[in-house]
Amino acid sequence: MEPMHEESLEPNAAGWRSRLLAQLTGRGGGRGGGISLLAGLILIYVVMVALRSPDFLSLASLLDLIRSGAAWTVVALGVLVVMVSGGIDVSFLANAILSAYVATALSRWFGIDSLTFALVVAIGVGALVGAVNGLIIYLFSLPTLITTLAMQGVIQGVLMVFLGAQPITASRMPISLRNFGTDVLFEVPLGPGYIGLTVFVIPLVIAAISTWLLLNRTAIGRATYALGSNPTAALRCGVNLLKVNLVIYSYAGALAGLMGLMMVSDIRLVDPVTLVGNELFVLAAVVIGGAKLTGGAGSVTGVLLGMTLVTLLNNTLVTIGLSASWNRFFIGFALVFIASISHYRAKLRNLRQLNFDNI
Amino acid sequence: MLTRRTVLAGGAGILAAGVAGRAAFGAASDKKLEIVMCAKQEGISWFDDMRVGVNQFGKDFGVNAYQIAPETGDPAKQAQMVESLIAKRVDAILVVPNDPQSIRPVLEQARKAGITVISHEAQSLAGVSHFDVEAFKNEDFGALMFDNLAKAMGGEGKYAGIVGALTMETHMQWFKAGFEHAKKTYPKLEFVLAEPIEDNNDEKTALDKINETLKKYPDLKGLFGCSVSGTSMAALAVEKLRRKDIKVVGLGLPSINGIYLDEGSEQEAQCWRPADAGYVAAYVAYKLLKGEPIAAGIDLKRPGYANVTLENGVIYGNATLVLTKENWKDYKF
Repeated sequence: MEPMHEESLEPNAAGWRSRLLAQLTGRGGGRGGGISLLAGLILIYVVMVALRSPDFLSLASLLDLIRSGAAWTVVALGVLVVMVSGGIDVSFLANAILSAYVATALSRWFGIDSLTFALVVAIGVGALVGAVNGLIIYLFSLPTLITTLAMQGVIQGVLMVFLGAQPITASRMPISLRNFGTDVLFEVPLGPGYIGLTVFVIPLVIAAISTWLLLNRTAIGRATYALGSNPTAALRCGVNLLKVNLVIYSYAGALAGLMGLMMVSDIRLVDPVTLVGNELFVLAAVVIGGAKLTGGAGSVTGVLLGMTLVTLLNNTLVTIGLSASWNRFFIGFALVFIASISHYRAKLRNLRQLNFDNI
Repeated sequence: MLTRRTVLAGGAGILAAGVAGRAAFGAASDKKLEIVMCAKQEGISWFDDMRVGVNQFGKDFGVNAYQIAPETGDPAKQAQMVESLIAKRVDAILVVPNDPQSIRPVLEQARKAGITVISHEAQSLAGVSHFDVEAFKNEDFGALMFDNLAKAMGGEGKYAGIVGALTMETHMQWFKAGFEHAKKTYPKLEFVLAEPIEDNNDEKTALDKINETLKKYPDLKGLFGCSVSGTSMAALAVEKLRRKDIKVVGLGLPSINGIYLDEGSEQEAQCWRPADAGYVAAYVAYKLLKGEPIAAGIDLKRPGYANVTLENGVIYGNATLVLTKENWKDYKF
């Protein structure tokens, strides 16, 4: 939660009922209110699943949730930064698989079996592709959606045509990457086996903290929010658009590269045709987390919670005994629910301020 | 390169080489028969292996047999390639369609042009093609999968399984046949789910769903996979959770599942050999071109195709290949 964008909650509102009412009608906090609404939704869902399957409330569930959602969350943080600036990036998953592919292929080419090397290459390639995105958007003042959509196609073309990318299977992946996908910080018993806290939690925490710092403790971060809220005003105030674009798109690209490497290590397969196609799932999680497609809003906490909800929905269907088609329904429902409420609250707030922009 | 050049030359020089050639030499006795496999995609190990079989057939029977395929698995591009084979007036077209429905009209065109057409992995095209060639009956493949699961589990215990999607016909045929077979044959096996879980042929989805299943049913003893992604991720999940007591079997490929067979997190993988399927498809076309009869019980000269069955225009072999720790390294696909 970012102090600079948060209106304080009404002090000591009596009980959750009046607080919920306050939020639904927009009398409560601004985005902070949205966060607690989302947290409430997650809580309600967890209780519902637990009622149906009491075993669900366990450390094992939490550990599995982290393993499943870590990589998605890392890339979502990059998507957030771009979305806060008022842009939208749809090339991030193509970028992720390209970066992971190049990192794995170079490791094999040079015979270097080192996680550090692979990480540096993946993050470097990701950042480079991101920087190209940022540069093109700046130079030609193109809509970000078009630019990154084109970039997605270009990346896939490069992979398939120029690199002639073939899937790199588990037996041909560097051991260090395979271990990256299975290593754990600690383990607890699960049945006759063990479930552990994946090491993915380390890049996840680093990405979350650095994104928070970038958005809230740097001039670039302030400029990013400013651009998303009111580009004209931001530019008149002397925001350096080239610099901001380069930084945020490279940053999003770097996180995409990191995510790609996490993902291929998790499933032990570098397949150029995977990942791409799941963009909307990530964008949905970021929007559920309170970011606006029009920019200027969004927070790290929101992304963490949004991704938690979406990962929960994805990973509880077997537990409650529903077929896979239900997760689309649930995610769609959550998206509509959260978006409607936040829009409704904004409308009421604007009305009170005699602002008739989004009636 | 060879294939592309031949296609281009054929397309351009059809009058000179094709028609005139035929007219001059009359019957094909002097000219080598040209039998062309149009596979789904270039450059993936499955179809590289198929090419080995097609080329081998060419050598064995002294015909010009070769394989082409679109760079990507694009149905439209594949249809175009078949069209240029028609223009080139090859003797036989073998096809593994990316999309059986969209290639159907092109194959009908080929038939009208008097070309022998054999399909593979497309039972719905039997009748459009002269024959469709299948490595096995889906029911037998499913039953074998569950036999192997039961064997690995010692005939008892709880199990679960994964398919690409409940709407994928082939996967569901394997599952339903295997499941019914297991109910009758192995009464102590217990399927814990209402229906198999779905992975949409995506590894990440498969891994997540299997982890969730293992969390909900910690006493599970067996997993089957009807998709390559499902089987390999079941093995990986078992390895990650250090649950070697859970037995994993299912559809798998040497290149992907071999490592899990080696590590012991997967007991058996089953598939069919693409080289043999390619060889047999070419052989069926050859027999038709020579006017030899195609009937149930004939020997198509490859392992598992020695005594084929024939139903409604589909030729079934009994060519399921079971990969184990011991034999998977013999195969390159």
